[in-house]
Amino acid sequence: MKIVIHPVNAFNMLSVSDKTYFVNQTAYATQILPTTCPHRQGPLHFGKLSDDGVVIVCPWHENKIQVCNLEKKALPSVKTGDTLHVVTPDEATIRMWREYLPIESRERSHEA
Amino acid sequence: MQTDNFAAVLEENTLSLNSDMGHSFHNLQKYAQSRFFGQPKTFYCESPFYRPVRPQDIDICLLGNPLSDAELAHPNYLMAQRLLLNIYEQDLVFLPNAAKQFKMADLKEFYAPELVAQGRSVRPPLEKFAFDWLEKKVHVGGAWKLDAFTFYTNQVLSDIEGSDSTLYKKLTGSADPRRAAQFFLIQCAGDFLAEASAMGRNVLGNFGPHTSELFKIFIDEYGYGVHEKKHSTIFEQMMKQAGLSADIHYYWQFYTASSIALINYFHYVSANHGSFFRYIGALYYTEASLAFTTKAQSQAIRDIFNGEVSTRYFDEHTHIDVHHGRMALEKLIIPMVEQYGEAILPEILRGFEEFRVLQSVADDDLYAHIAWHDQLDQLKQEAAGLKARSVPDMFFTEPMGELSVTHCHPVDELFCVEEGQVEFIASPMQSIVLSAGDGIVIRAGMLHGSKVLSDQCKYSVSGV
Repeated sequence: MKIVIHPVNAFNMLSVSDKTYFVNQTAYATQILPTTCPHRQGPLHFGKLSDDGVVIVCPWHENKIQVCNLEKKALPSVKTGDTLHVVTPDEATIRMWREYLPIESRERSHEA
Repeated sequence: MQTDNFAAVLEENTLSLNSDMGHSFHNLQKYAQSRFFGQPKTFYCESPFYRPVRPQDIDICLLGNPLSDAELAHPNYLMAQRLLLNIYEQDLVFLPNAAKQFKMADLKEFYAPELVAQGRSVRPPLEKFAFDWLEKKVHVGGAWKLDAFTFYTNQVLSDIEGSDSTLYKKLTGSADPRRAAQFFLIQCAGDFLAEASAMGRNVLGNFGPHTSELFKIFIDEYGYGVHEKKHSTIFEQMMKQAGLSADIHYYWQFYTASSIALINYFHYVSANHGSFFRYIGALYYTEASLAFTTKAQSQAIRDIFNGEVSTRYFDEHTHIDVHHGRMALEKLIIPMVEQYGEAILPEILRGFEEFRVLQSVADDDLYAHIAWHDQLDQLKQEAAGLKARSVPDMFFTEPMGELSVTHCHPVDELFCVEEGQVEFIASPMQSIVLSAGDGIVIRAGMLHGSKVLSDQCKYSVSGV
C-alpha cells in the first residue's frame, strides 16, 4: 500500500489504475467516489447532487444513487485542512486532474 | 468592570432573541456569573473550585457562530474552552490539597445541581462552537479496511518516531529555557494533574471484553490503587521540583485555549458516548505517539534543569505507552472491528486525526507563547515607536488592585499606560511593571493579564 498526499483543491478527478473517481466535498465531508453508476456505468460525476446531499442523480437514466452506498466503494481518504491523503494499492498508477464538474458548481443547502 | 451596565445590555440582547436562544443565553450568563467563575483577587487559583472565565465578556456568538480554524486567537475560543472545562469537570471530584482552602460551602455550591444543570444545558452549543472548526478541518472518507487503517496509522506514528523534536528545540532555544520549560509544564498541568479523568467516563457500563481491555489501560494511568504510582502523582512531584505549584488548576489563568482544548476534546468524545469510537481513535493516537514524544520531553527537562527535576513522569510514559499503543490497537481496535465490522474504522480514524490536529495546534500555540515571552522587552520598545503615531481606540481607568483576568485579543494591540502604574503579566514567571508613558504591543492570541499598582491607572488600547 501507499499513501498519496496532494492539495485537496488541486484536483477533482482521480484515477487509480483503471478506475476513476471524483471528489465530493461539503463543509463536513470529503469523499472520493467512483464515477461509474452501478446501474449501467453512467458518469455519476456529471450527475446532480440533491439539495440535502443524500443522493446523486445519474445523468443517463436519472437513477437516484445513495451517496452512503457509493461511499462503500470510495477510496479510503483523510482530509486535514487543505491536504488530502489517499491510501491506494502499492502497484496502482495514480493520475489526478481537474475538470468542470456540474456537481461542484451548485449551491448545497446541506452545507449550511 | 461595569457589571451593572453589562447586565443591562445582556438583558436587552436576551429579550430580542428568539426564545430558545434567549433561554440558552440566559443559562450561559447565569452559569458564568457563578462566584466560582467571576472576578478573582489574584492570578492564581488556590482552590480547584475557583476558575475565572471573565463573565463580562460572555458573547451571544458563543451559542451560534462557530469560529474557523484561522480564528482560534479570538477570545471567544478561550472563553468557550474555559467554560467547557468547568462544565465537564463538574462531573469529577476535586478537593483542595491544602486543608485551609477547604470550605464545605464551596464544595456544595460548586457541585450544586442547579449550577451543574445550567452548565449542562449550554454544553451542546458550546461544544459546537469549540469544535466545529475541527469537524470541518478533518474529514475521513471512503471504505476503510483494517489493513489500510493499520498501514496509514503506522505511517503517521513512524513519521513521529523518526522526526526531530521541535519541542526540544523551542524549549532549549528560548532566551530563558527554564522559564519556557516551566510554561510548558503549566500547559500540561491542567491535563496531567487530573490525568485520564475523561477515560474514566468510558470504563463504566458494559461493552463486553473491550471494557476490560480499556480498564487495563485505565488502571495503569491510575497507578493500580497505589497513590505514588498514579500518573498525576508523579507529575505533581515534577511540578514541585520545577519550582511550580502542584495544586490542580493553580495556573488556570495561564492555560492557553489550545491546551484546554486537548483536555476538553477527550471529555467531549467521552461525555457524548455516540462518539465512543472517536474516543478510541484519539486514545490510540495519544498513547502511541506519547511513547515517542515523551523521550524528547524528558531530555529537555533533564538538560534544562541540569538533572535537578525528576523526569520519571515522561520516562514512565516512554515505557508504558509502548504497551498502551499496542494494547489500543491489538486489544481494542482490532477486536472491536472483528466484532462490529470495518464500518467503525472511519470514526476511529477521525478521532485519531482530530486529536493529532489539536496536538499540533497546541504545540504551535506553545511555541508562539514562548517566543512572545522572549520578545516582551522588544515589544515594549516597539510600543514606544508606535505610540507616537497612533490614536487610541479606547481609554480605561481602573482603581488600585483591579485585576484583569488573563485573556487574549484577536488582533495585535497597542497597550499604553497614560497615568499610574500597572503590572502586566504574560506568565507566572514573567511580568513587567508599566508606568505612565510605557506601553507594550500585545500579539494576537497571546495570553496576558494586568493588575493596577497605583491608586488608579488610566490606560489606552488601540489596534496595531
